Amino acid sequence: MKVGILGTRHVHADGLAACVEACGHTVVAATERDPDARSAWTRTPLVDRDELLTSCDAVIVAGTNRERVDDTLAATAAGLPVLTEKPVAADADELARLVEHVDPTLVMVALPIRFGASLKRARDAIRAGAIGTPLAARGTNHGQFPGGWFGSRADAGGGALQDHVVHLSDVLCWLLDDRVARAYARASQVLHPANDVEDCGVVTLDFDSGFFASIDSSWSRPESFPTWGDVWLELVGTTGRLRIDPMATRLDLYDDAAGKLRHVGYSDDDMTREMVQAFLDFARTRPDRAPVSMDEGIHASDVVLAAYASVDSGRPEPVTTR
Amino acid sequence: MDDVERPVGLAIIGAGLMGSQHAASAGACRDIDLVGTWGADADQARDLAARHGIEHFSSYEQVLADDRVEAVLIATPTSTHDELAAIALAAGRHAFVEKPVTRTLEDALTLRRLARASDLVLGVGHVIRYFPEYRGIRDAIERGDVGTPAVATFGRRCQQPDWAPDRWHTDMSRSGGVAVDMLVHDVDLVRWYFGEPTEVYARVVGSDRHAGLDYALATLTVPGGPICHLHGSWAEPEGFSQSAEVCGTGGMLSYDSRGRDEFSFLAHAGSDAATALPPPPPGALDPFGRQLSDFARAIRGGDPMPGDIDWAIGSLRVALAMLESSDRRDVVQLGPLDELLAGTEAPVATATSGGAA
Repeated sequence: MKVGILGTRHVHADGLAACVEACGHTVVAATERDPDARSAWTRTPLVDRDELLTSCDAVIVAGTNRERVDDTLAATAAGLPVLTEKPVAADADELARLVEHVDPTLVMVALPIRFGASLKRARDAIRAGAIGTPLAARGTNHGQFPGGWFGSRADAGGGALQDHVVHLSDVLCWLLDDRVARAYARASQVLHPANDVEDCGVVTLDFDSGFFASIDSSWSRPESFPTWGDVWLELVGTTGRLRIDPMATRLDLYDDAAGKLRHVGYSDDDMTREMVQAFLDFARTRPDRAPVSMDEGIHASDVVLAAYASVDSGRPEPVTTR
Repeated sequence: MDDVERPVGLAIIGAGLMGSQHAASAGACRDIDLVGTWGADADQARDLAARHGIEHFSSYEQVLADDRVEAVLIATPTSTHDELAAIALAAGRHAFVEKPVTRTLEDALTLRRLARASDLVLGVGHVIRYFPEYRGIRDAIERGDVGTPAVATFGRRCQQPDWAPDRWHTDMSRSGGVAVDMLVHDVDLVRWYFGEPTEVYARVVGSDRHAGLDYALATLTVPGGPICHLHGSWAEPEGFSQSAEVCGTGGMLSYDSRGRDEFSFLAHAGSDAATALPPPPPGALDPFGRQLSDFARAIRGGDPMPGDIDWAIGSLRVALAMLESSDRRDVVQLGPLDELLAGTEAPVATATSGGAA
């Protein structure tokens, strides 16, 4: 299968392309408008979007958040299966445009956490009744500030809430077959004053079932933190407690060259590669519903929009139901 | 189905902690067909058979009389390994022996002669290299993440071994204590990462003095390698843990199993929810399952398994040197392993060559 990359400026772009090749497929070309990003991209030739859309079988949308809906709609208009980075849209207006025009049967959303082996085990355990009735959860998806356009409201549409809440919010919906009904959030911009987006945020989510959870998605990990961040989840139910830490399989490397402690992963399990493989299978066989559907990606963005509404109002805000 | 891909019919000998572990891992391993089990503790063996829906054999003779049994997995007290394995080989059965391979070096060398006189596979449960964390450490060392290693520490800890009903661990002549029973894993790591030790100095409490409580400290000299220090404990109040640290010119690599679970489930007090927890998904073989897979493939003509008898003898002699060093309060020198093994090349008269069943 020939895969094209629409936009290269997301931090995951190169890794997703590498996974496509590791799965035995070809990344034929990419598009990029930004001059600096053009010179930084060495994996494939750069072409214009129309040319790319006529020369590949599937595309990965991996530019800035602001470019995402435009690129997604161009690809689906050309009838191509799309793996789109998250969040699926930069803001409420873009999300409305996506909902109105997208062919949802063509889109899979790049939310890789649920492809981790420990998450699959957790879902099986919950469905088997191991924790009884799920009551509440706490998770963190901290990061370091990713840098560049992520700190710009014009390019990203938002900061740490926009960047990371979607992962665990989506994972909880998937684990519990539930939807988020209401969000309360607090946000601050203290750590990276040169940006014009929030760098710290904590959300508390109420689900349709009565389950509730909090997620700390702050870009609060310092430069000296041993890796890019963390992702961790604890669920409490009536009969047990479940803890999932997909990044637990690591060694600590006190690295003199880097001047800090670094984490070195050793797991056989690569959730990003599993996700890309699932996308390639989806693109080839085209089932009615993608492994992470457009619908789920839109709901994750609706949760983030409710969180931003809550930051503005100071109260919990309802999540849009579509 | 090609014969090469046919699962190997296996019987588990000894239904205690390790026999149960292997039975569970074999159940998820497509290269193994779990036939049945026998153990000196008949109740234990009957329970294990019932749990896995396999046959409960009433004697070892009955196991070896069953044509479905192509191989036996011996997970009995260490001092009984040599006799049970020798009987299996004589009956034309492949044998997988839990580590440590035998209680004495002489017994291990005899088993090696018996195996070499047959065309049967003799595997040993040197499972540590199947653990991804230890492979990750090896990869990091090979990549040069810590530069040139200068000092390395490896260890494992658990409570006084009280899980065997007859408390055989508390008898040094049967188990060898924590130094032989547990630190053989860490000896594996030293040999795998850095090469063969030439000197051993150790101090050992010994498991026969305080109802199984044991503690062992050992320093291994490896030519061209780092200072290697091992610590083993059967004196932890609760819980098992393992750890490793490698320090070099470029940095320090550190690993501790405590608090590093990807997936952890605990039932609330009074709840039986743990029974609802599904087993790990098939395909995600645990280290013991991957090891059994290698054993089965070796039987079907594939590569020899990494934990073969030569490797086992190399690790056992280092572990036994710890006991000797502690008894003598002196350094034990180890000669070249090749020379030790070369002394056992001649087949013994009692060896029976039985073709693979």
